[in-house]
Amino acid sequence: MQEVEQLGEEYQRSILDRISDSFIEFLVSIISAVRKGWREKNRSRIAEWKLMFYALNRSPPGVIGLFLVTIFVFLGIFGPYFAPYKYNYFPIFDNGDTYLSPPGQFFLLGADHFGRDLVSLLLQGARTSLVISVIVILMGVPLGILLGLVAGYFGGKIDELIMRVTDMFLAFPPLILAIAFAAVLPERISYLINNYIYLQQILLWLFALDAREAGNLSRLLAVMIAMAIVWWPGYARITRGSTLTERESLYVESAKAIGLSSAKIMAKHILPNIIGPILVYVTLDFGSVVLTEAGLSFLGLGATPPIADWGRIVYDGSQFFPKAWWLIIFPGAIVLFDVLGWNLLGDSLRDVLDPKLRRSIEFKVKRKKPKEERR
Amino acid sequence: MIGTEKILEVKDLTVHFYTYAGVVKAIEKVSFDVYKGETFALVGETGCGKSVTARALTQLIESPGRIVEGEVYYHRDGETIDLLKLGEEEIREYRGKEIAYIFQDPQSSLDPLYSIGYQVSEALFVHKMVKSIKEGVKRAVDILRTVLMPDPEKRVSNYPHELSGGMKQRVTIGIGIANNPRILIADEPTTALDVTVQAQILNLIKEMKERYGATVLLITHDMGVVADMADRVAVMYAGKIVELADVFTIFKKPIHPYTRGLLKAVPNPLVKIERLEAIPGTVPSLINPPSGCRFNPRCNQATEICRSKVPELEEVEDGHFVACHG
Amino acid sequence: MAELKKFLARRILTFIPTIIGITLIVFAIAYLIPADPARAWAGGEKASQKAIEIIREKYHMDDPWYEQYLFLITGLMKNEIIDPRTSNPVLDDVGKRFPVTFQLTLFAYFFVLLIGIPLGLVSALKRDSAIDTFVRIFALIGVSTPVFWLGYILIYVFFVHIRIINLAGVPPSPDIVITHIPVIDSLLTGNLELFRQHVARFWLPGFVLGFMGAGVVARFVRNSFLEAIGGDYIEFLKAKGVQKLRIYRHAMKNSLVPIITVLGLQFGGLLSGAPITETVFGLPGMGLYAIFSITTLDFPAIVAVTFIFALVYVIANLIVDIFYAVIDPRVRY
Repeated sequence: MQEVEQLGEEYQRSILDRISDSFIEFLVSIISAVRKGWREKNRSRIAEWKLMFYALNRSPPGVIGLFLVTIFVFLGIFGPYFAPYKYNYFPIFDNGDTYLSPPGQFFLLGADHFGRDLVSLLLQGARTSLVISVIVILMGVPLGILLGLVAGYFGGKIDELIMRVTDMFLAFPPLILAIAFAAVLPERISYLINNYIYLQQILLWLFALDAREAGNLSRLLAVMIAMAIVWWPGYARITRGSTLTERESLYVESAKAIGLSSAKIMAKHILPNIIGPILVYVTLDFGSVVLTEAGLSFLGLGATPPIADWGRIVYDGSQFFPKAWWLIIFPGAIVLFDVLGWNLLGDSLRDVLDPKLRRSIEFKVKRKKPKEERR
Repeated sequence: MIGTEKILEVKDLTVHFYTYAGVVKAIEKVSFDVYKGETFALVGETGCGKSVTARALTQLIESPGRIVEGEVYYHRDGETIDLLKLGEEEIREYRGKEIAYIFQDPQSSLDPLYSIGYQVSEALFVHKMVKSIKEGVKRAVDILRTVLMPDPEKRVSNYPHELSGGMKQRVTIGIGIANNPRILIADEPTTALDVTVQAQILNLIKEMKERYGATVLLITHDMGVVADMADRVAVMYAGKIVELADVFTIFKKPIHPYTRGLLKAVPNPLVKIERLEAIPGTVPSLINPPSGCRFNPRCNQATEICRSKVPELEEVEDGHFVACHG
Repeated sequence: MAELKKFLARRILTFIPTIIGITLIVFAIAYLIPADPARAWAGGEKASQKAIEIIREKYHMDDPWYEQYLFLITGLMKNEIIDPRTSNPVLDDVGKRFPVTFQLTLFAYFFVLLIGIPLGLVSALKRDSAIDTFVRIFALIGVSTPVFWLGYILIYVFFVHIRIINLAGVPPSPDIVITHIPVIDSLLTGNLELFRQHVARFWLPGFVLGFMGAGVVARFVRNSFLEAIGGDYIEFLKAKGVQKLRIYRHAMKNSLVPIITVLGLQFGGLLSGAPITETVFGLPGMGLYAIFSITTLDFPAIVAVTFIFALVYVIANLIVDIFYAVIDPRVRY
């Protein structure tokens, strides 16, 4: 443990490293504020995190990815408040010329067929995309992990049952299944939204929407549920795989031997050991969630106007293609950069966590000590 | 039994690996001769360069490794060839035909997707000993029989995963001797095997050697195997040969402190010793090897000269070479 | 070979539960169909109570779930479910669209193989070269590009500007039907003009759909080939004196095992992307049909399309598994 800290001393910190260090310090201070003594107990873990960032900072694709992801997460959170115009303000009623006005005429990136400013729509769309993706991950991944953990840990009939169900879902092309569920769900869940006013309020707040859009929420929720249905089986599979290997390890044997409950062994011993690679996989996967969401809304599922959504802007704009090319080029490019960011970050994180590649990156990081010292 | 006719002369063989961490000087100026018909053993700890030496003999060094300098003279019927000067295609014709290898791990030496009959046959086919793979498979049955594979007619159509470790090693030995090679290089042939199988495989190698009159270059870290098999022994440490002599001299009158340490660390089959002792310290980094004698940081007799000057391999008595200032 | 047969028998047996699983999920989708589509089908708000009731009874909407399941599955098997919108048996409608989607997927697959495999091999052989970097970037861009975006950009280039493709309709099928795939049939019957028309209509959509997969496959081929060539048995082959080309053949065969898995998965990915590509290029395939069905609340069509897609998908996976067993003797157990 001490060695890791000392290793940390050997590194020459760049500006990026300092930023990532202060970011980690910030996180750590939050955690230690909640749980006293956490910092002291987890010194080596903190050092390890810092090291991970140092290695990431040395890989240009990783830095670009991190940069893009940071921007899009930032825009997803604050975008709607920066937007020059509100998504449900229709300039066309004030000025008919704004109808499909090209970039530069009224607005920087042009307008849609309601005369709405594309920049504002893209900023609002960042929120829609981020919220849907995060919720899909938050619903699908824990479910998959839980089922995979239970299947892998208990084995036998339970394993068989869970994995059969998983295979059933994996027997469908993912987008097709999502389309089917997103198509049939909205009517079924609209009563949920209408009856549970808190759910409605939370969703409106999350998507930064006006109360009058409440009627369209069920379609957004349907897309999220449909995507979560498609997403969990993959995670159940990989979690089960890694649980199977961990289950055989000595520390699990000894935990069993001292009589810990199964739930405790799974939560406290197996999960922490398998979660790292799964989280990296989530990063890699986040891009495909964003892409799938854009695809679904491009097909007319999910967001409906006036709710701004990248895929939906392209769908609506495609009716005016090729004249209104800006309604396709810009939202599509935004999706591309967002997804690219997550993929670059995920790729580099995987490299950083892979011990073999990690070493090669660390060698680049490490300050070269004068060789004579060792002699 | 040891001939006086040299079959292999290795001179100043040096191999470096160019890695991201720096240049790993895997072996430096390794020189030795191998006589026709003998079993010559290269001994040393893991990472001392013995495998690299064996592979470098036929240019089997992969990038990032490179043979930096040296000559390997191969004598055949009065002809002398420098194996390191040959082109890719020329050296290929020697490999597996004149100089065959057996590797440490039979598990991974065989291609999992081909039947063992095919793989034995392939060794014959690529050296034009048979006209087709099919014809080779028929010959493979005989070859498998000579390496004492039970039920060879059936086994030829088996895949590697259907065989035990010992049987797989028999197959690789079969591939090794398929073309009746003049030199057989066995790189830790028993390390990956069960103890019970090890003796069988060693006996098999001995038997094959006698039957075909091949010269064997045995690479091992196991002094027991050395005592059992070898005629002459070269002890390697950190990429250099530190002592070279016939097997009796090595066990009875070792001179180099490392050889002595090595013998104290394992049960010596020829000399009774009271207790086993570990050599203090660890193998040095080959990126920045210690100056002077590479063993000096671990040597209890090291003096000033050991730290500054590299000792040369010198003949202290007839056929007994040592690289030590002491 | 006996083992291979045993493996196939076993694999085909496990196919049955998969099919049952598919029907269960398809049923779940059907069961979730909005409470009262009957009203929409019967003519919306003005629908008479009687018409609604007839529809509810015809589609067994008031029965317990297991009877609904039986109705749906036997209906699908016997093709007795009637599409309320067109009054045709629903699988007939889907069947008409199937060749378009399948042909599109084949074109895309062709591009995936044609671009992905050679590019992957070249970048493996020229490791750490400019080509290698290019493949890495290409793969990353490939998986990050929205299909619809690439589609419209290429339409802009090839249709609006160069005008070398057409986007209207689909060329007719040849008169003689052999495989039901028009492009193959027209080639087999020697109708080259029709073949040309099909290629002209489908190559760009196929390329767009295959673009993502090509990068993934290239990267994967590269990595598995490098892993195979780094294997210990390759070193032993060299020590055996095997020629370089022959060594590559060993490495190829070994890297094929993981590559085939990815190629199988890619086929599913292409099917998945079909609705978007069909929408962009106006191809009247199953995907476009499903999307249209959604807007018209034609739910039996959605159920049928989902079922057929899943069927094609699992059959593709079955074929992959069979290939697998043929190549790798270890799988046969």
